[in-house]
Amino acid sequence: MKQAHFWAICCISLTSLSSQGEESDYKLETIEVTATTANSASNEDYIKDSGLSVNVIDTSEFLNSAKDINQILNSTAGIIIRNSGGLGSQFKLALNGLSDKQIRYFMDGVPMENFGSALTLDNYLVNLIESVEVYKGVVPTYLSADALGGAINIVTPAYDKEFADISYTYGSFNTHRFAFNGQLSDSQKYYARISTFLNHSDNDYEMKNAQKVTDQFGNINGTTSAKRFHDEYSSRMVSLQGGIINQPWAEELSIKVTKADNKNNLQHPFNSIDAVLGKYHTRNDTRLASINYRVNINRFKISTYFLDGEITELFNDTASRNYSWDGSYDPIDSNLGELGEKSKLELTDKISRANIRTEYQVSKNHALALSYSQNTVRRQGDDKIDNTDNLFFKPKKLEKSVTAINYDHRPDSGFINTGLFYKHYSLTANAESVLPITGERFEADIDESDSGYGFISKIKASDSSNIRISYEKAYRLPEADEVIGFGPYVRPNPNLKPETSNNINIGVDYNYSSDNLNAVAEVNTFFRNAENFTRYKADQGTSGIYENVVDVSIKGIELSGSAIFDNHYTLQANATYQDMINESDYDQNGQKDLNKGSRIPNEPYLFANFKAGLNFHTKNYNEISAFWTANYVHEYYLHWENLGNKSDKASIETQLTHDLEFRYSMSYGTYNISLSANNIFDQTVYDNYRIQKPGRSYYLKFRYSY
Amino acid sequence: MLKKIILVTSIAAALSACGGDSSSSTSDFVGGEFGTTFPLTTTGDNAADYLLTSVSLSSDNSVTATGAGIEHSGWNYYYSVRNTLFVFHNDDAYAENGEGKAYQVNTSGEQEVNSFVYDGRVATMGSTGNTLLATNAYWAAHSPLKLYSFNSETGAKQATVEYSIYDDGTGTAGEGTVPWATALVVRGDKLFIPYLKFDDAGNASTPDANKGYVAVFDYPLSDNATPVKIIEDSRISNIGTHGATSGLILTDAGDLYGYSNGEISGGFYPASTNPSAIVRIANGETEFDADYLLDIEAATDGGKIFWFDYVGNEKALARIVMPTDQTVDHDSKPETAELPADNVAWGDFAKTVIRQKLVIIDLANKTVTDVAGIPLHAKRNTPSVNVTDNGTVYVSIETADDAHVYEVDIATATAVKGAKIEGATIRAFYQL
Repeated sequence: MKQAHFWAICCISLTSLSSQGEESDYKLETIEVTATTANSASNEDYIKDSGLSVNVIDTSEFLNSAKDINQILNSTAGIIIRNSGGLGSQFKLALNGLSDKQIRYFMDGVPMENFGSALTLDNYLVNLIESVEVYKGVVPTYLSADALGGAINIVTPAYDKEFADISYTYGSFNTHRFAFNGQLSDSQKYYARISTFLNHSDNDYEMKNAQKVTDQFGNINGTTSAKRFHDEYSSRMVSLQGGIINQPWAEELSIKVTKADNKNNLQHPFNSIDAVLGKYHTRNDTRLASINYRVNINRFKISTYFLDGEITELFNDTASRNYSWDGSYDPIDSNLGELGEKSKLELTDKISRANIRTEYQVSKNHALALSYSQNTVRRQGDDKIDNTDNLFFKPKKLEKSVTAINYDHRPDSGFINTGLFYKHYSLTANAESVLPITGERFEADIDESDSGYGFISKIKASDSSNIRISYEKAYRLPEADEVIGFGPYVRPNPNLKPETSNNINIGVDYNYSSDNLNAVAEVNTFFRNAENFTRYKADQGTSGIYENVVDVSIKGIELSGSAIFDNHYTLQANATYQDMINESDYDQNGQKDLNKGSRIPNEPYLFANFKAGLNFHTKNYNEISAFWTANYVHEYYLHWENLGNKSDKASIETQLTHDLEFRYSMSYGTYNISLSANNIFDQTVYDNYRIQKPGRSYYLKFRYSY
Repeated sequence: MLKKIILVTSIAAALSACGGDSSSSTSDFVGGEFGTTFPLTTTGDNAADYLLTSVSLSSDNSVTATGAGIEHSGWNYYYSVRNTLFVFHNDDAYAENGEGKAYQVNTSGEQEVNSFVYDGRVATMGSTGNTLLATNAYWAAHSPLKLYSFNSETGAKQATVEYSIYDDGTGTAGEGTVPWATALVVRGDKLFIPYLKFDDAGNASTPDANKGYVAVFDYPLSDNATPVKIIEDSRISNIGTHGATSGLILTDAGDLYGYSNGEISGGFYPASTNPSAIVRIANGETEFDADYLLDIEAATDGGKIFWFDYVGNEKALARIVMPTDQTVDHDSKPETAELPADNVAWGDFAKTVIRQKLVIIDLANKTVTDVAGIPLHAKRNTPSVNVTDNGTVYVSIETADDAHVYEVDIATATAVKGAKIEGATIRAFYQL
């Protein structure tokens, strides 16, 4: 809420500079109509009265919870996150059916693409952020990127307040998570912030039926449980940020530097527990620096940022060992690592990003915005051991830019608020590549451009109900690996086309409030008509190529509701059903795709969340609260649903897990302690590729905040 | 559709009796006692194999995995010995820990009789008597190889022996080569292993493609066995092709025949300068027969043999890759995006290069006869073929538009078109 006040001040100061006259200064509408906000702040006001399909998750209710951002997102309607293990494991976030690279991530409006594995969302405890904005379908032009199916923007606290938040969580599997977020601020002059996290987990949870029991010849007699023994994950991040704020010549002029790293031991590949690893690990090192500048001049708001970074990922596969689940191993050929040819590959990405955005308040009811952003990746790599892995000796460069124009109309009546936008994408890449087997090198230039567009519309159906309709013709441009290739395994494909989708979201919300009940109900339907999904085709022995082969149509519905009774009892529930249908005529082998019209395999299509909570204040104003949450994912199949005997098809069985959490806050929230128990019935649950997830676990969190 | 496919159920015994009655019509022939068992590979993303047993593969049917079949994920190699079908599951990316299964068929369908583990990737199998032999192989390692033996009565793995063919590793990847066995053939007290030679850096190039090689071992193998000798033939290329388990075949006369392909599109780089040909190791000998060479290119107007297997009476069923004007969209390199089919690495393994014909080769008489009634098609290598009691062989023929089962009469070199395949391919048909 304080942030809203901060923005109210900004907006009011803008309007006072403009020629609209004194009378509008104190009117709430003024804030709304000028709410096409700049990058590094909350867009909440803009969102509220726009036709965007957005969930804004206020993290304040989770600050005493041991959950990270991923875990909170996973309980949001329309989102499902699947993991291949514990903390630090590979995860796949799907938003209204589209996932992975099709979703773009931002922090305060800056794209987090290629930021490295230490800065993915599961590393962030909620204590470092203020809210998470989940954009479904349409991505507004103030988030400038090529997103196919939506975007997630993490919003950090406002610059005009002072705070300190220290938290430490200890729990099962030797999990330690520390976060500190502190800021000094003089709201008319400057601010300085330090944010840091430290995470560690052994992730040594029990895997049921992982180890095969064999006789001396290798005939399988049964299976037994095993503990994960090589899955430790550690990550660290420190970020310093500060600058001048609220000056006539600068709303904000700030710099930010971030350093993060991690070490990740892998127990097994993301899609199989049969290949057990005992030494394989990856390391990441990320360094980022950015400058942010925002200024308001009369009716113009200008914002710009520059970001520069260097991200190194090291993949270390140097142990010539074949491990078993009991931790024992057999030596294997010294040319081999655990996943293939022995390799120690270090990839360095130098990234630079620039963005400039201008907003012009044409009149009280009309606003225009123009933005341009550029995103460059230079990749260089070196394998210290495998000399065939030599494709990145020379740096490879990939450059994307997005130009966007946006128009917003918000009439006084507020009956229909409309936004129109147009985006132009361009991709250029210059790559040296090598043909497989023959080793012939060649240069490839890639030049691709496309235009997307769309609209958003909010209709005020009544005082308590809104209808939101949004549409975007969206694009995701090909990535470095796909266009430039990857070592001897992926041949470059300069002809690769962007993935495209027509995204439609139509939603209705209804608000009810009375003396002892506040309730919100929402129905959101979504449609995606996505084409040219890229797929890896292994067509030449050990090498393959990415091609555009898959078309998918998605129809879905999300239902969500929440209610607060007597200010003490809360209920929240949501359910999502999405019908994802394969529309491809041909498969990656060039053959007629006989599964056209069938449900896409290995994707959950029915899932739901439920949360009930109660909280009471003691007579000395300490607060006690308790929560019960449940998560449901309906059974889905690894392969095409209609094929094979149902009885012995590989499936990911229906999951239903229950978590409990108790919190106690003292001195108006200054001192807090919470205890959570996840998966309290110790259900054996699996995720995609049937990788088992942790069983029952406990976390104790201490937090100090002012 | 389902009623036509009729999977093996409790009424299967009765149905197979019907099949017996109509065995005069080859297209209604019922293979094994309970029908023909086969893995059907579906199309599309995330394709799997489905193990099915069908009593009829005739043209009024279509075979489909819709609602039926035992699902096998990933990349699988199948091989049958007598009544048992073995499946080796190789997940290409992480092949260190393989897992396999053995199936038999009875009145209630396919029964899993055993499951087992093995090291590395197993793609080459063979048999002697009641025993299945299987060897692992590595793309880039000089590890000792492992020869696994299985009992085909029970499906049980009963022995593992370490052996090696050769080791020319220098410690620097790319300087040496690794052998990839293309057959395991036991004749008397000798085991013959022909092999491809790939570079040991995992690039799948074949730096030594102008000779054929067969390693000869004393059989049964002793632990840490090495070849008694390695025989070479400089008239041909490496013997066999990748994915085949019949690079070398043993005939009823006791002769061994091996084929060589040597073309870029057949998995060789650099290509061999020797013609695609068939060579012989005569009965009782352990050297190539210098007097025998069947030059396939000369015998087929420029064709190259891509695969063969023994079908009795000193004959082999073979696929010949024919010269074509077809170019292949290669995509990698803009200026040569379209390459002639011959020049595309592994091109003949692709579904889109339609230029293979099926022939019957009389090995002793060195004649090549086209099988009448089969169109030009695309095909990866077939692990092995089972000849039915009628002297016929089922094959899956994939053309640009669809895939069909054909029943080939070996004696007459003719084929009858059978069931439509609702999928990408059937790797092979087994009479269990």
